[in-house]
Amino acid sequence: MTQVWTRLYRLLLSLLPPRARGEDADEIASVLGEQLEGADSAGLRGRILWRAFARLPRVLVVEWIDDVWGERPRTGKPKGTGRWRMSRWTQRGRLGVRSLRRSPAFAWSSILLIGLGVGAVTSVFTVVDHVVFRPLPYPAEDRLVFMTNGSHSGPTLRGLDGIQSIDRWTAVYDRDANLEVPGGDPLRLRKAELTPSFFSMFGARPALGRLLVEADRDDPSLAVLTHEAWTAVWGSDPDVVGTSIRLDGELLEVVGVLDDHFVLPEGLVGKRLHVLHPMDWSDPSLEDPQSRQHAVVARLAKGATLGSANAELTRLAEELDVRYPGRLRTRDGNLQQFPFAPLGEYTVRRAARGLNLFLVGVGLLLLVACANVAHLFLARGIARAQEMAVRRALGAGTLALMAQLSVESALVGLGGAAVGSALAATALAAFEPWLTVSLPRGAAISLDLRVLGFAAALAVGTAFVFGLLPALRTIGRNVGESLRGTGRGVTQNRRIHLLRNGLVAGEVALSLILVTMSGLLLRSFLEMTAQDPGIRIEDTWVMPVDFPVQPASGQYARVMGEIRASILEVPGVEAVTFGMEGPFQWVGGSTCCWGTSVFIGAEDESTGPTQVHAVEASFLDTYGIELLAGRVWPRSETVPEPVPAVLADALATRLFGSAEAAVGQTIRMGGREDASARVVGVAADTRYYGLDQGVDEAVFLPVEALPFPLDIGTFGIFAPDAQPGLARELREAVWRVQPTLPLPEVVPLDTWLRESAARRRFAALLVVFFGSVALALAAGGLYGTLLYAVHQRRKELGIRLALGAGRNRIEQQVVRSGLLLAAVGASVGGVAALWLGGLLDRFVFGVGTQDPVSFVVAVALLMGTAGVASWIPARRASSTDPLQTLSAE
Amino acid sequence: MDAADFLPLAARDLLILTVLADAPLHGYGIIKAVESRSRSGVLLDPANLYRVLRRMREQGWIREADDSDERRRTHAITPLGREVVRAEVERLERLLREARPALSRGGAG
Repeated sequence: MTQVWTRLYRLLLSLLPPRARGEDADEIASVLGEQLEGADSAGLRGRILWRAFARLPRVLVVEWIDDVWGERPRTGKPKGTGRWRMSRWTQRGRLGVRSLRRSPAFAWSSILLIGLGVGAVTSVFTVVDHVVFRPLPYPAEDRLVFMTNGSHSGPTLRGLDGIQSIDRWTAVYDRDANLEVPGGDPLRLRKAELTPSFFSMFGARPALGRLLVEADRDDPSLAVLTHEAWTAVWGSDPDVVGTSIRLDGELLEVVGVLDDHFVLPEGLVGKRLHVLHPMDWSDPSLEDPQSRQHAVVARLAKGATLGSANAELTRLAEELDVRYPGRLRTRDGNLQQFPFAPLGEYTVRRAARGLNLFLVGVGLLLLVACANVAHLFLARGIARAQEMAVRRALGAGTLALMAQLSVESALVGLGGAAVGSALAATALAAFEPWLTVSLPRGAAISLDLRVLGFAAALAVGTAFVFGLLPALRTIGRNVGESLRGTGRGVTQNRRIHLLRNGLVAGEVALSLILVTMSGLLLRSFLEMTAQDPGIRIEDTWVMPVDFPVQPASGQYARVMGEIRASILEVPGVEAVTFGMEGPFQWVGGSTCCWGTSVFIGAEDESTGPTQVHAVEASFLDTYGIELLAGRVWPRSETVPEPVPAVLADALATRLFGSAEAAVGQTIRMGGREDASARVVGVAADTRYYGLDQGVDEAVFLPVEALPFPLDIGTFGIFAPDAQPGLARELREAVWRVQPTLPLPEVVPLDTWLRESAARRRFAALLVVFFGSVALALAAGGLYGTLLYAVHQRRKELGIRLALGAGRNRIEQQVVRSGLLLAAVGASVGGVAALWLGGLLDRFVFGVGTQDPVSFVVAVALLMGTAGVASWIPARRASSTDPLQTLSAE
Repeated sequence: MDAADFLPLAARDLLILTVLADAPLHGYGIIKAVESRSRSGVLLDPANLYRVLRRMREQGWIREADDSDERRRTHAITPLGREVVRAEVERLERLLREARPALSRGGAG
């Protein structure tokens, strides 16, 4: 029995680290035997066995830790020992640094490639994470819901108080407002008319004074400033609370300033300078079920579901329908519904689609980066097989070797991570201006350490795994053989070679996907910017106006006409026009300000939604929109019956077959029985709402025929001989007629056009960034692999050179092997890119998702890069001195 | 390195060094001697004992005795080892001297 226990013990002792095992294992086991033999009772034997076996695991662990981490005298004081015995890890660190310094090419390229990968992945993922995944910064954000189907009317808002499934709600009407500044031009701000529950629902805190509470619900004369408005407009005046401001002619008392950290709910209250104040419930328009002005956000009661809330909303809609018969139904007779949807979805919905694409890109890039790290370390590992063998022969254990290699991996990995975080921070800073204009919640973006940590951990992890490989390969290897042989080493390396080649080919494939995607999006972008807007951009200026007090009914055209006449007198100005809105004023899929349906013939033959532009007679002429048929109505004070209209070519062709056929026809607009118009002319198509939007199928009507009062408008000025300072002169010309009219911007039309492309430009920029990084990584990978291959074959190459092989031939051969690898990768990647191209469906514009040009260019670019990446090692191969190479062996 | 640098010693270390101070012993001998000397029944397990012995050897407290053979090594204390034991005993005595009055006061009160 004793023997069985002793043997078992001995067996377990073989798990000790080699050194301890060799010295002590046998003796330890025999001591246990002696102990058992010496024990005089079964109880004592049991105790001895229990103690020996139970303690063994702990001893094993501690011995291993000592072995790997270097033994420190446990009872001695390590601080005192530093003078004569460096801790093993310090020693390894020094050794690692020295070893890396001996191969600076490897060290730097690894650090840079890791850094590039980590930096790119971190920056893009930070953006995506920030916009899509991070919860909204509001209390109980998962219960916040917004009311779909646009804005909502007063009766609907009042009905919300009866909804049991929500515990609070707020309504916001966000619009431009003019702040009167004593002794100066009025300032343009935004004002948000809201219910005071806004502040509690979004968890806002004041920086100064107080915020609005439920008791302020009926006092629209109180105002809260956003922090931005307070700093920008009031110069962070600490005494602003209690002062009065005049906004759109109304006197408001400032009661507080919002905290700097409060993030305004995107889509509810925009990013601009705001004054927030309670909505005026006595406003008669709040009694009108068709006057829909307020965006609504509510918070679900605890335990309530979206379903239960929406069921209640349906009942509310039905009640309202009973109260206002026929007024809340759509044209086809359906009841207008307004269900809730999660708020987070609303804020990021539009951006998310594009960003998901970037996530795919990030994933691919991360793979490329890891593949790169992997084979860089593989290459180095193989090259060091001999070094490992030497160390082995000198008595280094597997663990010690692994520890040494880990240190080197860690050094490179950490260097890469440092470079990566610097790159990511730089990239984010560079992206920042784009982010704030083109993405929701983009304003407060900063480097996300978790993301950085993740990417860096992955890269360092890869470095570790592949860095350790050489040490693992020495296990069970005849040391002498490794020391001697390079010949057999090559065949033994075949599997690793295959792995490395596979990695590089995979990398090329992934890069090709990314480069193709970049190509597609870039082409889309170029295609878009190459679109003919159908509107003259050069020498044209635009100037929106917003009357603080709405001109009396019928006076709008007259007031605007006076301003127009005044502007015409400015030197250099050739033509001036105005309309309710200008080209490119509304972009990114939104339109303004008068959408309707056009009918010809029977009531049910609607042509679908059509924009109506109420414009001054010289509008087409001033904006350089070509007239294809007929004429434009003459300028006159009174509007003739029927109202003259000019159709866009696309609409005219669709309705009447051709531009010529349309002239003289009658159309009816919307549900209004009396709103018919006679087509007097047809204008060329324009991309009025941005280059990325479809052709604007619009109707141009005389502004005098506008059936509703209006307080906004936009002037278009054609000034081919403009002098510097035109903007100032234009403003002064307006103020000569309307001294208090605010003019927030006077800009060249080009500015608006460029803004309309900003979002797509950002997308294009981001993918091009992706594509370039991927290309660089793939090139780095290829370069590294070939350089290593050349190094491996230097003996063979040397012999061939010595035997008179042409240097060109050798160069060609190396390049060819590189191109072959790239070609394999490219064909795999090409198939994948074709397959994945469908993902881009929504984002491409003017090119197919399988656009041959993008593919060909991507492949050519990649192969070209591969060629260059192979050529440098090839040069090196052919320029070696055969004698030197041979003697080095 | 001064012996005082290693203080305080683990009770097990002190016991091992004390039995070795009496006479060189092999592994099993140490276990037996510690067992009989400690009376409180300190029972060493072999694997840990050898771990401790190896460390003591590296620290220079003990060495392999001259009559040691390959299969069954005998361990002997070195002058440094003795020094360490002496220092530790002194430390403990000083500690006791300082602790005792407090203890007796506590007993009286």
